[in-house]
Amino acid sequence: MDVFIAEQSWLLTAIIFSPLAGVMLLWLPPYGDARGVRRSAMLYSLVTLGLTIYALYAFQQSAPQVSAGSPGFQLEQRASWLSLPGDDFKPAIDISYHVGIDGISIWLLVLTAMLMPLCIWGSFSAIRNREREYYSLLLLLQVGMLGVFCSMDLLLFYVFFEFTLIPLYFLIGIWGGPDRRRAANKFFIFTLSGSVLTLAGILYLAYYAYTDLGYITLNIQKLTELGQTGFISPGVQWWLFLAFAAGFAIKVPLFPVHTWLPLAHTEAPTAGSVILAGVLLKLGTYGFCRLSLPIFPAASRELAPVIATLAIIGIIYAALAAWVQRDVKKLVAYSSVSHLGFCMLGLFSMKVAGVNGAVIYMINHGLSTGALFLVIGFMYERYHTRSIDDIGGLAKKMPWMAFFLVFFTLSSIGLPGLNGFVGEFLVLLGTAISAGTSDMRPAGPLGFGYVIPAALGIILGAVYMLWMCQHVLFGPLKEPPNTPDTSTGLTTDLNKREISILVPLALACVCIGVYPKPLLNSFQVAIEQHILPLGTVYATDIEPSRGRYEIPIHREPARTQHVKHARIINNLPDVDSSAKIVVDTQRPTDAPYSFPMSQDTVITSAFDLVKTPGADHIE
Amino acid sequence: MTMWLAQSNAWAGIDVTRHLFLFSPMLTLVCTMLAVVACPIIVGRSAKTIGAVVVMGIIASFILAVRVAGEVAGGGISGLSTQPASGMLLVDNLSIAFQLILLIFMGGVTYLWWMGSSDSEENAPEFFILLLGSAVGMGLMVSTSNLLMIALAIETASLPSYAMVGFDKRDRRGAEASLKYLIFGAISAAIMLYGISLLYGLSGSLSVAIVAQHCIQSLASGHNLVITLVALMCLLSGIAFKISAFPFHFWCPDAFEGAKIEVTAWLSVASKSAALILLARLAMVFCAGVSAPEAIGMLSPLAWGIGIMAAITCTLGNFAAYKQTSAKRLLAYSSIAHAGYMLMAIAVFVHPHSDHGQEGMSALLTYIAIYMFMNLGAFGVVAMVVWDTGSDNLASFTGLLRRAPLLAVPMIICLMSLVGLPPFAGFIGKWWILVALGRLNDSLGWFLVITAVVNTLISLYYYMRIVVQMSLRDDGQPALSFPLGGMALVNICAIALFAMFGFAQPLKTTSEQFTRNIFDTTMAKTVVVDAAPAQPIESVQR
Amino acid sequence: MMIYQMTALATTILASAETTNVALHTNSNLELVLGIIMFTAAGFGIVFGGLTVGSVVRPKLFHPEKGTAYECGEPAIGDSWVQFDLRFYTVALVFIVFDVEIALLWPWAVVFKEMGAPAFWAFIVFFLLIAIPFAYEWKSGYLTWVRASSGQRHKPLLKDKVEMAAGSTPA
Repeated sequence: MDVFIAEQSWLLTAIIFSPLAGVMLLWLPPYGDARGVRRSAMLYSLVTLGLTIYALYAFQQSAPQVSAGSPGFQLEQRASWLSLPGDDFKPAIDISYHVGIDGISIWLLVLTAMLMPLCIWGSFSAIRNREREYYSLLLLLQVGMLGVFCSMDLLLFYVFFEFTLIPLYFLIGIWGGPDRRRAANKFFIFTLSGSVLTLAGILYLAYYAYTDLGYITLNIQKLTELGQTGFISPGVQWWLFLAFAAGFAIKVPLFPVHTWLPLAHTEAPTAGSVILAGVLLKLGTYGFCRLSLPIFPAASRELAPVIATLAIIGIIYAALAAWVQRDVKKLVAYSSVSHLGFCMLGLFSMKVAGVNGAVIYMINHGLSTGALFLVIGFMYERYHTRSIDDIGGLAKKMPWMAFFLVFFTLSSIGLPGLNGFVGEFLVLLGTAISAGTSDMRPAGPLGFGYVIPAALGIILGAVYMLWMCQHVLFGPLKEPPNTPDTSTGLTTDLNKREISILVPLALACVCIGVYPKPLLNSFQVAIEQHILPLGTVYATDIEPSRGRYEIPIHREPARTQHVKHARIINNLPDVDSSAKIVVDTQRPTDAPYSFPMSQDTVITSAFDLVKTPGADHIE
Repeated sequence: MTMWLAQSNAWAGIDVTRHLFLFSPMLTLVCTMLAVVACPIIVGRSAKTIGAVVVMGIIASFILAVRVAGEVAGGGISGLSTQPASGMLLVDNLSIAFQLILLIFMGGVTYLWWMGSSDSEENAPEFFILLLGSAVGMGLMVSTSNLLMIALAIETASLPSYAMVGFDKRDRRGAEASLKYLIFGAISAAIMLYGISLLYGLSGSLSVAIVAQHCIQSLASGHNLVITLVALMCLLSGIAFKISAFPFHFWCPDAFEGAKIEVTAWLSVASKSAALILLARLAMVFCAGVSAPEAIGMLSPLAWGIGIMAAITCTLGNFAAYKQTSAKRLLAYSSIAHAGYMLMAIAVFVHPHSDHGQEGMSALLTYIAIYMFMNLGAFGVVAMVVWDTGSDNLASFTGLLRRAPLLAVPMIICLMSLVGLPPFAGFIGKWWILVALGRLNDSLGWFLVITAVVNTLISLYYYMRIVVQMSLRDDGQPALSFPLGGMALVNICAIALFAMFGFAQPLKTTSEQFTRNIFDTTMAKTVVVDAAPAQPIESVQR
Repeated sequence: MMIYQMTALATTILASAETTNVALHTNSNLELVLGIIMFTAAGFGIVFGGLTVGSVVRPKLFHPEKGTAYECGEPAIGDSWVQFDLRFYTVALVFIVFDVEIALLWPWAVVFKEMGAPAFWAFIVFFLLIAIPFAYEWKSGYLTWVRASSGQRHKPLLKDKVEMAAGSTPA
């Protein structure tokens, strides 16, 4: 079975591009009527979901290898894309189509694949024009999102990251509310202006890595290795971190650049909002998590107080802004800004607990806020308004809707027993212990001081969400004239279709709330391996003792002819200090170099390596 | 035939058959011209007949060009002379690569013409004589490193272009555009000829390799410094006019707007990329001659000069495109901006840091190949909208996504590709130029990277205006009727953009092969030594 | 005018570089620049100097007859800003084409004996390049001085004539 699983390298590619195949099938003639288009779109998204669940199974099957300590990702597939061989005058380039998943990305993949059929199902009654285009764009959007979570090459990541813009732009711009054009343009221009700077950063990082490796690569694992071994100098890290953050912070969105989000949410069609809140915002936090933290650890540490402060301003500010909204959807949109602030706080605590909390917060926010947007969408279909002033006391008339609205509100504000609580708790825990070393890890940049305002944000969150529920559901019945609109075949309360859409989300919320362990374990392994690997053991840090040591040694760069990293020497006073260790440069760099040490071997300082024949070889 | 020719002294030592074969693509185009001229005498002026003759000529020329590409792939240069340096024409990988691109593009333009004008056009032979004539001129522009031939080739390419822009003589805007183009062209040609004559006076030779040697000497020694710089500037300005680089870009929007759409498409890609490759070749020969350390120092200002020209060109093109309401004019400014991006690649290999500059050269060639498809697709859609609505105003595009989805979707793809968004080939084109710039790893390189990246963002805004007009606005007009063939053309372009994104590696490898042996420095040096030993300027005077 | 000046300058430089420019030989582009300036000044000086001297020296006796276009007494009809008939240009162009051909024919004739057959065929190609466009021009009617103002614009095509001769009805 293991062998069989290990050969499933096509699986991720199939998952990423299965919606694309769906789009092509959607344009084939047989589905002439809107009904056929809707149903087949639903079917194709279910195929993707099926493949993803199979990937989850395959991933779990091969998980023991992970815990055994082998670094790396599962289900990897690699194909040359922009790679070029080098020659005397130019370096080799290694940029490939390289996909793989670890414990974090698999769950985000599942979240994406799960939300999409629900969104499509939820659009059955809401979207009544140009349906073929609409469902094609939704599926295309899914290609981009799935691709981002699977990318193991920085340029591939960027390509998918950018690709999500185009479908969502049209989704908002064509099927959105009255102010849709402005919302779509603002969304597009905001997001792209950040990410072009990211592109410049990617290019600079590639050339910086080239000075060490002797060839240009954008392999995320390789870059992580460089970042973690301290090769990238803090000053360079600082600039690169800012360049990357420019793209990701806008996507998250972090406080000063969040203004596109409420507008986009308000104007987007329901499915667009769900996907935007559920998955697209996660691309930003995922970028921070997957790239900024591991590749620029020093800069992350240095800039964490700034990011955390912005996150906290965002938490409080967005909560206050949400409180005064009269539009229910806008209120939930502002709550997204607030919640994503928690996510950022957890990430930049730079503790396993905090990052773990942040990642599960991503999943939770996707589930509960996505569901809230769905419920509000169903309500809007009946009342054609989202204003708190126009509606009220719906609980008597629509008990099912009232149930789900309250349920997801509670999930969103972090009621213990539901999913939101787990994330919030871990984030706050991680932030609180960040400055300490109680978890046998280096001290993080944040501390208890950041917890108090964040906790205030949680209280505010509860206040405005419950206030919204109270106004919409309870009190005297208040409806606009001629509503609820049942002319399109809707029932007064939620119908079976709508309930079936919400039930899986509710179940997921309960499951995570009660038993989050599988997710947390999966995240923990990935975080310890890829996001916050234990600091590199420099040769000078090792206590002299007997044993076999694993010490990362960078392969000698072919072009620069000198080595920058820790060296090991035999430095006994009575022995010639020129004793050297020969490093086999033909070894793959992924494998840590290990060698036997005698009791006499003392590791103290840097020394030259002996160059073995063929050391100039580049793979 | 060689044996037969060898009877005469004049052909001694020249493998005429091989040379004729190497130039067969361009000769075929000349023969096609003759055939087009002969058509009205023999079979009549029917547009369809003429079109068929031209298409056959293009196909024949393409097949020959492919065979020639195989012939020269092994390397080396073939001048039409016993002495490579004194040969007026040469065939190498680069020139053949461009000729292949040119022929493909000419096929596309002919197809556009076939759909749009073949029913109404009375003067088909005349149009194709001009089109083929300018194509021959462009083919020659990239196949020479002789100053006189450069001047001749640019004129051969330009004169038919002027006439093509004003081809419809009843159209007042076309006539005005043509006149503007002509006056600009004549003045810049005069300036260039002046520069060439100065260079000839300084070096006593018309071969660029020798001229470059003398220029470098005088730049390094300060000997005749001013006059050399003036001469080089004059030469550069003539080429910059064809590229429509700042500050010689003023003709471009007017000429593009006034011309018929297929002519606009032709000029936007073919004429510019021919001039870019010519400039690249000049820069390459110039740099290959630089060996003295004191001379290497002078390349840096030259690189900065071209780099700043590129930066201003693309920034200006992008900003000027902002307020345009005519799609043709908007695409004209966009083509100025893209000329700026491509000039950046040339700045790379003028730069002393770049060991060889092959990266810049192959990035340029890749960009041209991609740019051809982007512009053919975009102009194809504009053409069909113009034929249907009679106007190229942005308002004509309203609701196109609903009215003609099979035009609007390729248009969106082409525009997004022009912006440089993944997953379209425009991103790959920009990426390779950025990689080449990053490789300089100095202030010029990163300055240009930032300029290009910021310009991408600026350009997004005006390309989006067309996209918004097509997709987000709709005034309920009825569906558009468009020719099926046109739909196929633009969709093929869009698919090609996807494919070139996915198969980026083969594309780049191919263009590297096509630019490989032109960077053989030993070639450039032996050329100089063989033809005229590098001698001090004094000795030339005798 | 501008182009003329530039060409004059270029010619000047070429001449100086190839023959006897001592200034260049003894260095300093300053002197070269000076030379250019002097030549430019001389160019302007001869033209404007001549006009100035003429205007100073000549007698200033105005008479209406002297102001007419043709001093032979022929009265001018209208002013000179009329559009010339395009036919003049066509004829002039044809003339230039053949003029150039003669210019090339001369050196060809000189070396014809040594080169033999290749030279013959080379010229045949060149001749075709001129003959086919000339035939085109002829056929298109651009050489006809008085063209038919209405009806069919072009003369009957060769194939139509053949068909007519064969007795079938022309299309």
